[in-house]
Amino acid sequence: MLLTPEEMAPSVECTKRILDELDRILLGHHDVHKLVLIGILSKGHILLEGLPGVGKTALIKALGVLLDLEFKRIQFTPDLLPSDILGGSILQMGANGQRELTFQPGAIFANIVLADEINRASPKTQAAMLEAMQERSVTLLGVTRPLPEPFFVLASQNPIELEGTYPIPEAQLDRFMFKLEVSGVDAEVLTRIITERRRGEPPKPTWSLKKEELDGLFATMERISLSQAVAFYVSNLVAASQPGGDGAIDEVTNYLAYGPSPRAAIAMAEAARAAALLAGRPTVGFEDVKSVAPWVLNHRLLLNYQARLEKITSLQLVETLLEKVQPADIKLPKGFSSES
Amino acid sequence: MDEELARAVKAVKAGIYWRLVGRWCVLTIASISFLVGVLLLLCRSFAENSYAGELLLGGIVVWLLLLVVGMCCYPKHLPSSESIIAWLDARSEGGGLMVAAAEEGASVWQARRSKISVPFIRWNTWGREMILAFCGGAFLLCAVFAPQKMREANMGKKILDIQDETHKIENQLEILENTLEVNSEKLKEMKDILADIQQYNDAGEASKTYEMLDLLQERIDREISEYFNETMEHVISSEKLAEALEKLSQLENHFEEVATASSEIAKFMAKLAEEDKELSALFKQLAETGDLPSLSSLENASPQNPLTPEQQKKLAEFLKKNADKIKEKLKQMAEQMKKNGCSSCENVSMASAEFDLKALEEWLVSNGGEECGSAFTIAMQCGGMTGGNGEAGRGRGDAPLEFTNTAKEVEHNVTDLGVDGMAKPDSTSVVKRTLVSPENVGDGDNAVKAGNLAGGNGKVKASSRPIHPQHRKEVENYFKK
Repeated sequence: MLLTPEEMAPSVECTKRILDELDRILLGHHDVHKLVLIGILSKGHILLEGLPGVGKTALIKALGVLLDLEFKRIQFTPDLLPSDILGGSILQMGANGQRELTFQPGAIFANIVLADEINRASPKTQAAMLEAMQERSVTLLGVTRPLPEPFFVLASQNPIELEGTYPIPEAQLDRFMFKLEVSGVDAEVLTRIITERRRGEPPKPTWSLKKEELDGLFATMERISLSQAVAFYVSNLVAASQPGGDGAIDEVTNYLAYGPSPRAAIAMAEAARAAALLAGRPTVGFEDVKSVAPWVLNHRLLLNYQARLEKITSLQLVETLLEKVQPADIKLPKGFSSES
Repeated sequence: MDEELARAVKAVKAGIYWRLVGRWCVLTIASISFLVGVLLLLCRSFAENSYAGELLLGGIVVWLLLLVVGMCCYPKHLPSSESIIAWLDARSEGGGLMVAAAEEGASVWQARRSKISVPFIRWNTWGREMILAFCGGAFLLCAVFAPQKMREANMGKKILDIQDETHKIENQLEILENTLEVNSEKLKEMKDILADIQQYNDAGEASKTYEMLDLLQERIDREISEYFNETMEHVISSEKLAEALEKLSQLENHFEEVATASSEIAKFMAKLAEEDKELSALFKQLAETGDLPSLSSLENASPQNPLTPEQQKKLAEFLKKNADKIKEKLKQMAEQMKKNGCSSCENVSMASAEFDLKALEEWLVSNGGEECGSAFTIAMQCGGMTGGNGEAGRGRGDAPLEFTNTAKEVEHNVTDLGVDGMAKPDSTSVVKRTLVSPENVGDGDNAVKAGNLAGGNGKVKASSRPIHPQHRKEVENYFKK
């Protein structure tokens, strides 16, 4: 049974308020705010990539405050150890005077974890987050400990200064729902920043989401309808981006080394639901899928050397994919076409 | 599914369906037009009737049947309602509400749903298919109308160009009709044959046509030859009689012979008059005026009442003049006939020109002088030309010549039927053979004769396969080489 407009209204209003507040706090990044909110509603992890100073950390911090969730920040450095993230057991004197190992949770035990400059940590440390991101739990010394609900990892990385960095492994990249590129802002926005904000400090959120409101949002998300036709479109998109697959388009075959995993289809469907919620609809539309597909797929498409030689980017490939894979296209007889 | 969405789906389905039917209609028109056109042409080529009406009617019936079949089958080829709804949703950016409305009902969201834009179904290849149908229709029209004339031209037998030949034969027949007084039944028959040849002139059977032409020409030649021969016999007889009369007029006191001769002359004159009406009239006229003796006076001539030398001379002069006149007439006719391609006329004129009466007479005198006994006998002998089967200069010329039915040639064991000295030679006479037969060809010779070619050894026969006129010159040249 579809949600009624009345049932959807609070959630829609809530998301609108969040977006408005984010837009008020951070100027000139409405699309990024929207996508981040979609990621949060979908309970997905988000990788933000951008130059220093474009507001990545500020956005994540503001989001943490707005959602009224426990927020922790980890600054990734080459000497960061897994235990620094996950935590560890330390020997402590007990109340009865005996020494005992006590688990000390790491920074990952929070609702929102900001993994700043994630690519600066060693692969070993980066890999420490794999289980946490997918299973939403941490296993140490044979003991599995669940992470708090909800749990989001919002990572950032700097596309420059690559010396001494460790590119995130594909397995970990795949666990991020979105990879968003945070770009700079135009002169008008800059003018507003420097005129309206002392030393560029963003204003503090004036309100925070109540827990029941957040739960309501997630509950509404659960009831957003995904029709067969749209699900088929999502599947077609992912299938068409598999090099060597039956439905693969020529560009995919030519420029891709590996395509996205089924996790991409799941992420796309979830993100499309969130996009539908933001649009105030109880059903996922084809346009919702199209709106989120580039950010779901761009970090999951592994380009081959040919693409690099020809300077083809993942986003270009996704655009081509969206052009060629028509949503719910009926097979008109040969010699017929349709036009609006 | 709400009403608006159902209407949109129906509109899309109808758009696709009717365009499919339209295309099927055009394609079947093109196909059936070509098919019926081809069948029509085939019928016209190989059958007596073109069956145009039946084929057109059949084509229309088949087309209607195919149309009905297409209309029945195409609904199965239409996309499903679900896929159309999803398609409309995607095109209208309906946000999945249309799909949801079809799947689980979304009437509460109908007001917020974007307007359904029903796309226009375009038939992209209509131009190509219309051209095909147009070509098919044009082909059918051509097959129905234009080829009718073509068929008449093609189906009608191809005619040989025998105008020259038929024209010459027509002229020859005209000359025969106007001049030679040929039997009207024979003439009519020959004209009928010519008409038949013209009517059944068929290039497919050129040999037969030319053979018939040759046969007709042969027949005409034969008629001409017969006539010429008869006339020449007549002329020769007249001339010889005239000479005999002249000689008789010089003989004195031979009353008995003159009387006998007068009786014979009377018979001969009667025969001439019977054959030549003009001569008969003239003879009667002269008899009445007294310039010539009457036939009765001739018949009644006796040693006591013989013809006077003057009468004999007048009679001889009359006969000579008459012979000259006939010869001149024959000569003119022969020239006319030659102009019209009468092959035998050349021989006729030559024969008449070369017939050396004096030499013949001398020969007869020297060879049969005693038996002939007198100039009269010689005259009778020459005039009758009844001796033997050979021509005048050869063969059985030395056979006993008698005027009874008892003449026999014992040595060669051949019995000759005696004929009247004045009897007309039959068609197998020597003179005729001389005129119409081909040049002498020995056994085993390869020769071209009178337009006929006989290959291998053997004599040439007039009935051998004819060589078409257009080839004859080349064939002759070939054998000349």
